[in-house]
Amino acid sequence: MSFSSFFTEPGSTSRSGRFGEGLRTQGRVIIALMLREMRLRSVQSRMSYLLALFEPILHLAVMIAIFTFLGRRPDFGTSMLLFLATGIVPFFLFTHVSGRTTGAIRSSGLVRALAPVQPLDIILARALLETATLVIIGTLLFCFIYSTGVKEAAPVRPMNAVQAFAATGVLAIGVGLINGVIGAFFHLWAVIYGVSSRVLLFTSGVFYVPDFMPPQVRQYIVWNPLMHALEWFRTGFYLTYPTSLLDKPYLLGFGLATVLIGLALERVFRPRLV
Amino acid sequence: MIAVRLIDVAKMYRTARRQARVFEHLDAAFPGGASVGILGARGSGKSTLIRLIGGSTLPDRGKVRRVGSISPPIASGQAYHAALTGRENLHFVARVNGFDGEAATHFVARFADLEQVIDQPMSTYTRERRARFMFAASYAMPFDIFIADEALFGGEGAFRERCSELVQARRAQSTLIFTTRSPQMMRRFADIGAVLHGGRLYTFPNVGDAIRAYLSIDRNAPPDAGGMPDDEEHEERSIEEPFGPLV
Repeated sequence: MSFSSFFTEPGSTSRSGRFGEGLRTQGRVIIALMLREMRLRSVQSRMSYLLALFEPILHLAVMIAIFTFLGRRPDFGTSMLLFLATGIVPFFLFTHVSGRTTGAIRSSGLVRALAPVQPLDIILARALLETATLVIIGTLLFCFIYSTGVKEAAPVRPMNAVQAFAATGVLAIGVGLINGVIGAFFHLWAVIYGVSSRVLLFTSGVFYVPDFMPPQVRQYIVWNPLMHALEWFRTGFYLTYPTSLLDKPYLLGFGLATVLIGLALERVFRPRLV
Repeated sequence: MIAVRLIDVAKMYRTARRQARVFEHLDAAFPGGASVGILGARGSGKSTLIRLIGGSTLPDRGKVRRVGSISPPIASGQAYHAALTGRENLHFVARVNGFDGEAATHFVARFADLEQVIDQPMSTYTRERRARFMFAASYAMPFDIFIADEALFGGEGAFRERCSELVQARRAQSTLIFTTRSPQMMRRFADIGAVLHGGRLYTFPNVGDAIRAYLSIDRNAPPDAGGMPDDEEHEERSIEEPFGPLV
């Protein structure tokens, strides 16, 4: 072998160069998977992806209707719509991202069909697509609320809302990774997780302000990381939102821990993820 | 340069009744730019070997190293979704591998004569069109390594002839690794012969030596100078296709 061929061998590039190349490949694969997934959701009709976009908005509309019928006043601020929306957006971000990854590997039908597509890419692509969908929904929703005359819908501290959204996204993707691995083995997991995650609707403070709860209730819901995510998100919209329970390091630590556990599970079970 | 190297690979399959140990200490190296034909009897682990090389199954132990991009097995339809059009499926596979999807689509439409249906969902394709699409699509992108399990080319009539010429063209540009039970296929498409037997891969620089070694092992092998062995191979492939044909 001559020296020139040694230098052209692809395996002989520097470590950082290989890392960059790997990252580019992963990005390419995830974007390709997201585009395919979007296309597959609109197979029946051009409207079906649009309907998927508006599903959370419909959900919210039903809740508004019920609360208006009950004659309830918002726990905080003047607008019931805005109060519920600031709760439901991070809640949906978490439940949609973490729940829909459960069947991601199986429903893609792509397990090891193409060498660059790994199970982790399939889970991440689904999680990122759901996150992107929720960003669009959230933006549209708050624009809509603003247009109905609720001026608080434009966040007073936008960075708080963005940070809280990102932290919720990390938590959701971490739990989603764990679910993605479990779901690949245990087909009923999607149903079990779907039902049990509904409990979070009541323990995360979507309808109420956690700080206004009696201490017996507070001492339990404070363990729920999603409650912290909602509190943090609302501080972006309400200047004087009470945050004595908010513990940002707890939420971030919980999120990072789930990401690490999820990645470790994926690594351990990688040969059997089918 | 070595395109694919298997280092101390072990692979076992567990079924409900028994465990099948396919490989225990398999070492193999496939040189870049050459066409390697792997002969092996039924059940010798040819398909498992191709799946290990292509990454569609992972070894229990050991390493598989690849240099460059690798194609899915020729004519495998696992990456294609029946509800998507031919064009969309090709774009997806090209995008994943970093190739030009439009060029691949153009090639498939022209080569397999599918201009009218390339924008139709693949579930509407006839059997023959689907087969033509699969084979043309397999060779439509400039992979560094092509792998094939039994089926190297297919289709009917004139397409079949053009397809086999296409294999020869790709073989000149890239690395090709294929399995077969037919000595005739070896003579046509292989530069280097290999025989898979007893969990080991024996490599022969001379294809004739590989064929002689294989015939001495496998008495059920088809005779060296048979007619067209490809039809029988195609049937065998669909039986062995673990994921079933494209729905």
